[in-house]
Amino acid sequence: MDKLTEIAQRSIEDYGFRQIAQWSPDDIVSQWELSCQEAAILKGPLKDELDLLPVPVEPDEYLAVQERLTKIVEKALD
Amino acid sequence: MANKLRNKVALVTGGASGIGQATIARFAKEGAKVMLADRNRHAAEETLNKIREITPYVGMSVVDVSKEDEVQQMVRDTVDRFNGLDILVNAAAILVLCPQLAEIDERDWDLVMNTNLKGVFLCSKAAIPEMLKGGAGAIVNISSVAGISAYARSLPYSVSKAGVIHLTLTTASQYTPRGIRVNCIAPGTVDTPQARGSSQSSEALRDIANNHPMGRIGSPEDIADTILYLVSDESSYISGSTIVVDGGALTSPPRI
Repeated sequence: MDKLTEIAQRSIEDYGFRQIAQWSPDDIVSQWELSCQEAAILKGPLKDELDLLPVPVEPDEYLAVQERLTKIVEKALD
Repeated sequence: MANKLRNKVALVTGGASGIGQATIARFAKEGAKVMLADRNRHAAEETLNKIREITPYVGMSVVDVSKEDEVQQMVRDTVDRFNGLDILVNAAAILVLCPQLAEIDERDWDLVMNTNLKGVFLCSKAAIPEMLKGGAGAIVNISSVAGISAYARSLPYSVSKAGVIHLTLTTASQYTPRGIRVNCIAPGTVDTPQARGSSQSSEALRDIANNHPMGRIGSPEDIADTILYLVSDESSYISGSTIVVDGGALTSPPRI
């Protein structure tokens, strides 16, 4: 699993981690050693999606949301 | 408008949501001039607009409390805007869910500690000199019952909140003689985005409420009322204390 997909999936299940990804992304960039491209995706299309997630994401919605975010990350990485 | 905090200047971190947001509203209603600080710019702007319906004396600072340069700027902005600083409420915090200790990623430990404990240290470090200039001040740090009893779902969070309690005690020992009271609140489960998020399901939060001795979880206003007490003259003989505000949850016997 690529780093961004892992970050996206954690952000779905863990609201606290989501907040860091949304509002202190540079901490994620430095600690997860993201590339410039990955950082731009985190701060751009991935953040846009995270901003729309409910609090919490209910467990029965995890799979659908994970699939959607994974596709967004894969498309952005291509 | 009541006037318990008339003309006092208050800085509240984590002010865009939850306990911080409720505190800013409460302070504004009591006549304080308030600086709202948060790293979530969008939520901070929304809160700012709501508080402007109460008072024109409100400002906003976008800040990551784990970054010293941003914290120093936040305090400068507060003093420049309102000509002083009397009250600091350290409400900014995060809760990152973690596995058991031996499996915790060091990065997660750092993320939690940097905001929850180092953030309180940095904000206090920046605010105290300004309070000393004014001859008095009041600081309230927001800990958690997780800082008193074990919270296994996030050891870093639990330890950081325990650290906030001891930071409060030690800061009070240093600065009470110089006119700054420093106290702490340990909330139980409170209906905030953080609690909703960390519960990971609406059902889990309802379960906590249903099994609570009072039949409900706390509201942000429950905590804001206690914060108001601790920064007002009504608590003028209290410093170095931690007040648990959890509806009696810690007193409940464990379910068999």
